[in-house]
Amino acid sequence: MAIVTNQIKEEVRQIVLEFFAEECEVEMSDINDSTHIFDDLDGDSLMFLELIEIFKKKYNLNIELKTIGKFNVKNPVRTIGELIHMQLLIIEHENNIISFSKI
Amino acid sequence: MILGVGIDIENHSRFLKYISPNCNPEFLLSVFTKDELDNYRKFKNHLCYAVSFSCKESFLKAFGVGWNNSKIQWTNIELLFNEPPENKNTNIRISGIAQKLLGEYNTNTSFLYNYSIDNSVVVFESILTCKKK
Repeated sequence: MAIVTNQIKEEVRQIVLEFFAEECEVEMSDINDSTHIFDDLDGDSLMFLELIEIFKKKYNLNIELKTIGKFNVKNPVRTIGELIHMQLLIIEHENNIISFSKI
Repeated sequence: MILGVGIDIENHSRFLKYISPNCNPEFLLSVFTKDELDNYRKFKNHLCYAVSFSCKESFLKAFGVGWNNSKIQWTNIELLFNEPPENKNTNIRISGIAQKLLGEYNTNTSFLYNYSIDNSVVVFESILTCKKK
Protein backbone atom coordinates (compact mmCIF):
# COMPACT_ATOMS: atom_id res chain seq x y z
CA MET A 1 0.00 0.00 0.00
CA ALA A 2 1.22 3.50 -0.74
CA ILE A 3 0.15 7.04 -0.21
CA VAL A 4 -0.96 8.35 -3.56
CA THR A 5 1.04 11.49 -4.20
CA ASN A 6 0.65 13.87 -7.11
CA GLN A 7 3.77 12.27 -8.58
CA ILE A 8 2.18 8.80 -8.45
CA LYS A 9 -1.02 10.17 -9.98
CA GLU A 10 0.97 11.62 -12.85
CA GLU A 11 3.02 8.41 -13.29
CA VAL A 12 -0.12 6.27 -13.42
CA ARG A 13 -1.75 8.55 -15.98
CA GLN A 14 1.40 8.49 -18.10
CA ILE A 15 1.71 4.69 -17.98
CA VAL A 16 -1.95 4.21 -18.89
CA LEU A 17 -1.82 6.66 -21.79
CA GLU A 18 1.47 5.28 -23.14
CA PHE A 19 0.21 1.72 -22.83
CA PHE A 20 -3.02 2.32 -24.76
CA ALA A 21 -1.33 4.55 -27.33
CA GLU A 22 1.12 1.76 -28.13
CA GLU A 23 -1.27 -1.19 -27.93
CA CYS A 24 -4.08 0.50 -29.85
CA GLU A 25 -1.82 2.41 -32.24
CA VAL A 26 -3.28 5.84 -31.51
CA GLU A 27 -1.68 9.17 -30.64
CA MET A 28 -1.37 9.78 -26.90
CA SER A 29 -2.85 13.22 -27.47
CA ASP A 30 -6.04 11.56 -28.73
CA ILE A 31 -6.61 9.82 -25.39
CA ASN A 32 -8.21 11.56 -22.42
CA ASP A 33 -10.22 10.69 -19.31
CA SER A 34 -13.46 10.30 -21.21
CA THR A 35 -12.01 8.05 -23.92
CA HIS A 36 -13.95 4.80 -23.94
CA ILE A 37 -11.52 1.87 -23.69
CA PHE A 38 -13.61 -0.59 -25.68
CA ASP A 39 -15.62 1.63 -28.05
CA ASP A 40 -13.04 4.32 -28.86
CA LEU A 41 -9.76 2.41 -28.53
CA ASP A 42 -10.90 -1.09 -29.40
CA GLY A 43 -9.24 -2.22 -26.19
CA ASP A 44 -9.86 -5.68 -24.76
CA SER A 45 -9.59 -7.73 -21.61
CA LEU A 46 -6.09 -8.97 -22.41
CA MET A 47 -4.84 -5.36 -22.49
CA PHE A 48 -6.63 -4.74 -19.21
CA LEU A 49 -4.94 -7.75 -17.59
CA GLU A 50 -1.52 -6.82 -18.91
CA LEU A 51 -1.86 -3.28 -17.65
CA ILE A 52 -2.82 -4.51 -14.19
CA GLU A 53 0.30 -6.68 -14.26
CA ILE A 54 2.48 -3.68 -15.17
CA PHE A 55 1.20 -1.84 -12.09
CA LYS A 56 1.53 -4.89 -9.86
CA LYS A 57 5.20 -5.12 -10.77
CA LYS A 58 5.94 -1.41 -10.65
CA TYR A 59 4.37 -0.75 -7.27
CA ASN A 60 4.83 -4.27 -5.85
CA LEU A 61 1.09 -4.58 -5.27
CA ASN A 62 -0.77 -7.33 -3.50
CA ILE A 63 -3.94 -7.46 -5.60
CA GLU A 64 -5.81 -10.43 -6.99
CA LEU A 65 -7.75 -10.42 -10.22
CA LYS A 66 -10.79 -11.84 -8.45
CA THR A 67 -10.76 -8.80 -6.13
CA ILE A 68 -10.67 -6.47 -9.13
CA GLY A 69 -13.46 -8.51 -10.69
CA LYS A 70 -15.62 -8.14 -7.57
CA PHE A 71 -14.83 -4.42 -7.42
CA ASN A 72 -15.82 -4.02 -11.06
CA VAL A 73 -19.21 -5.64 -10.49
CA LYS A 74 -20.22 -2.45 -8.65
CA ASN A 75 -17.72 -0.11 -10.30
CA PRO A 76 -17.51 -0.92 -14.00
CA VAL A 77 -14.45 0.49 -15.75
CA ARG A 78 -15.31 1.76 -19.22
CA THR A 79 -13.21 4.88 -19.68
CA ILE A 80 -9.56 5.83 -19.26
CA GLY A 81 -10.52 8.11 -16.36
CA GLU A 82 -12.32 5.26 -14.56
CA LEU A 83 -9.34 2.98 -15.15
CA ILE A 84 -6.88 5.52 -13.71
CA HIS A 85 -9.17 6.07 -10.72
CA MET A 86 -9.39 2.31 -10.06
CA GLN A 87 -5.63 1.91 -10.44
CA LEU A 88 -4.95 4.67 -7.92
CA LEU A 89 -7.34 3.00 -5.47
CA ILE A 90 -5.48 -0.30 -5.97
CA ILE A 91 -2.12 1.38 -5.28
CA GLU A 92 -3.54 2.94 -2.14
CA HIS A 93 -5.59 0.03 -0.81
CA GLU A 94 -4.51 -3.11 -2.71
CA ASN A 95 -6.88 -6.02 -1.92
CA ASN A 96 -8.95 -3.75 0.35
CA ILE A 97 -10.33 -1.81 -2.63
CA ILE A 98 -13.48 -3.83 -2.27
CA SER A 99 -14.33 -1.67 0.80
CA PHE A 100 -14.41 1.32 -1.53
CA SER A 101 -16.89 -0.30 -3.86
CA LYS A 102 -20.16 1.56 -4.46
CA ILE A 103 -23.06 -0.17 -2.70
CA MET B 1 -32.77 -25.19 -25.92
CA ILE B 2 -29.90 -22.71 -26.31
CA LEU B 3 -29.12 -20.75 -23.14
CA GLY B 4 -26.20 -18.71 -24.44
CA VAL B 5 -23.77 -18.35 -27.30
CA GLY B 6 -20.27 -16.92 -27.05
CA ILE B 7 -17.84 -16.08 -29.83
CA ASP B 8 -14.36 -14.69 -29.33
CA ILE B 9 -11.55 -13.76 -31.71
CA GLU B 10 -7.94 -13.32 -30.64
CA ASN B 11 -4.92 -12.29 -32.66
CA HIS B 12 -2.62 -15.18 -31.74
CA SER B 13 0.67 -13.35 -32.27
CA ARG B 14 -0.14 -11.42 -29.07
CA PHE B 15 0.41 -14.64 -27.14
CA LEU B 16 3.94 -15.29 -28.40
CA LYS B 17 5.36 -13.53 -25.36
CA TYR B 18 3.79 -16.16 -23.09
CA ILE B 19 6.18 -18.85 -24.28
CA SER B 20 9.16 -16.64 -23.54
CA PRO B 21 11.22 -17.70 -20.48
CA ASN B 22 10.99 -14.07 -19.32
CA CYS B 23 7.21 -14.17 -19.05
CA ASN B 24 6.00 -13.43 -15.54
CA PRO B 25 4.63 -16.71 -14.10
CA GLU B 26 2.39 -14.82 -11.67
CA PHE B 27 0.59 -13.17 -14.52
CA LEU B 28 0.07 -16.52 -16.23
CA LEU B 29 -1.25 -18.07 -13.01
CA SER B 30 -3.83 -15.32 -12.66
CA VAL B 31 -5.40 -16.33 -15.98
CA PHE B 32 -4.47 -20.00 -16.43
CA THR B 33 -4.46 -22.83 -13.87
CA LYS B 34 -1.33 -24.78 -12.98
CA ASP B 35 -2.73 -27.79 -14.86
CA GLU B 36 -3.25 -25.65 -17.94
CA LEU B 37 0.26 -24.21 -17.78
CA ASP B 38 1.83 -27.66 -17.30
CA ASN B 39 -0.19 -28.85 -20.29
CA TYR B 40 0.74 -25.91 -22.54
CA ARG B 41 4.44 -26.06 -21.67
CA LYS B 42 4.55 -29.60 -23.04
CA PHE B 43 3.56 -28.31 -26.49
CA LYS B 44 5.78 -25.18 -26.42
CA ASN B 45 3.24 -23.52 -28.69
CA HIS B 46 1.78 -20.04 -28.18
CA LEU B 47 -1.45 -21.22 -29.84
CA CYS B 48 -2.27 -23.14 -26.65
CA TYR B 49 -2.45 -19.83 -24.76
CA ALA B 50 -4.33 -18.06 -27.54
CA VAL B 51 -6.97 -20.79 -27.91
CA SER B 52 -7.33 -21.15 -24.16
CA PHE B 53 -7.75 -17.41 -23.57
CA SER B 54 -10.26 -17.23 -26.40
CA CYS B 55 -12.11 -20.20 -24.90
CA LYS B 56 -12.38 -18.46 -21.52
CA GLU B 57 -13.64 -15.25 -23.15
CA SER B 58 -16.09 -17.14 -25.30
CA PHE B 59 -17.59 -19.02 -22.33
CA LEU B 60 -17.90 -15.81 -20.32
CA LYS B 61 -19.88 -14.36 -23.23
CA ALA B 62 -22.05 -17.47 -23.40
CA PHE B 63 -22.75 -17.02 -19.69
CA GLY B 64 -23.71 -13.44 -20.52
CA VAL B 65 -21.07 -11.89 -18.24
CA GLY B 66 -17.62 -10.32 -18.42
CA TRP B 67 -14.59 -11.26 -16.33
CA ASN B 68 -14.67 -7.89 -14.63
CA ASN B 69 -18.37 -7.74 -13.84
CA SER B 70 -19.02 -11.21 -12.51
CA LYS B 71 -17.56 -13.48 -9.88
CA ILE B 72 -16.45 -16.02 -12.46
CA GLN B 73 -12.68 -16.27 -12.50
CA TRP B 74 -10.51 -16.95 -15.55
CA THR B 75 -9.36 -20.14 -13.88
CA ASN B 76 -12.96 -21.45 -13.57
CA ILE B 77 -12.82 -22.38 -17.26
CA GLU B 78 -9.91 -24.66 -18.17
CA LEU B 79 -8.94 -25.92 -21.59
CA LEU B 80 -6.52 -28.83 -21.82
CA PHE B 81 -4.97 -30.13 -25.03
CA ASN B 82 -4.54 -33.86 -25.64
CA GLU B 83 -2.68 -33.10 -28.86
CA PRO B 84 -1.17 -29.95 -30.42
CA PRO B 85 -3.83 -27.20 -30.63
CA GLU B 86 -4.13 -27.49 -34.42
CA ASN B 87 -5.53 -31.02 -33.96
CA LYS B 88 -8.46 -29.80 -31.84
CA ASN B 89 -8.36 -32.69 -29.43
CA THR B 90 -9.22 -30.97 -26.16
CA ASN B 91 -11.08 -31.21 -22.87
CA ILE B 92 -12.81 -28.41 -21.01
CA ARG B 93 -13.28 -28.30 -17.25
CA ILE B 94 -15.74 -25.87 -15.69
CA SER B 95 -15.41 -25.25 -11.97
CA GLY B 96 -16.16 -22.79 -9.17
CA ILE B 97 -18.74 -20.07 -9.73
CA ALA B 98 -18.99 -20.94 -13.44
CA GLN B 99 -19.99 -24.50 -12.58
CA LYS B 100 -22.48 -23.24 -10.02
CA LEU B 101 -23.98 -20.89 -12.58
CA LEU B 102 -24.25 -23.70 -15.09
CA GLY B 103 -26.18 -25.77 -12.52
CA GLU B 104 -28.48 -22.87 -11.69
CA TYR B 105 -29.65 -22.59 -15.29
CA ASN B 106 -30.84 -26.15 -15.37
CA THR B 107 -29.56 -29.48 -14.11
CA ASN B 108 -29.48 -30.77 -17.70
CA THR B 109 -27.20 -28.02 -18.92
CA SER B 110 -24.33 -28.95 -21.19
CA PHE B 111 -22.06 -27.14 -23.60
CA LEU B 112 -20.68 -27.44 -27.11
CA TYR B 113 -17.61 -25.72 -28.47
CA ASN B 114 -15.46 -25.45 -31.53
CA TYR B 115 -12.54 -23.35 -32.65
CA SER B 116 -10.54 -22.54 -35.72
CA ILE B 117 -7.03 -21.20 -36.20
CA ASP B 118 -5.85 -19.34 -39.27
CA ASN B 119 -2.69 -17.38 -40.05
CA SER B 120 -3.48 -14.55 -37.69
CA VAL B 121 -6.47 -15.29 -35.47
CA VAL B 122 -8.13 -17.87 -33.29
CA VAL B 123 -11.93 -17.96 -33.36
CA PHE B 124 -13.62 -19.79 -30.51
CA GLU B 125 -17.34 -20.50 -30.36
CA SER B 126 -19.21 -21.95 -27.39
CA ILE B 127 -22.87 -22.77 -26.86
CA LEU B 128 -24.60 -23.50 -23.57
CA THR B 129 -27.62 -25.75 -24.00
CA CYS B 130 -30.15 -27.58 -21.87
CA LYS B 131 -32.63 -30.34 -22.55
CA LYS B 132 -36.27 -29.26 -22.68
CA LYS B 133 -38.35 -30.71 -19.87
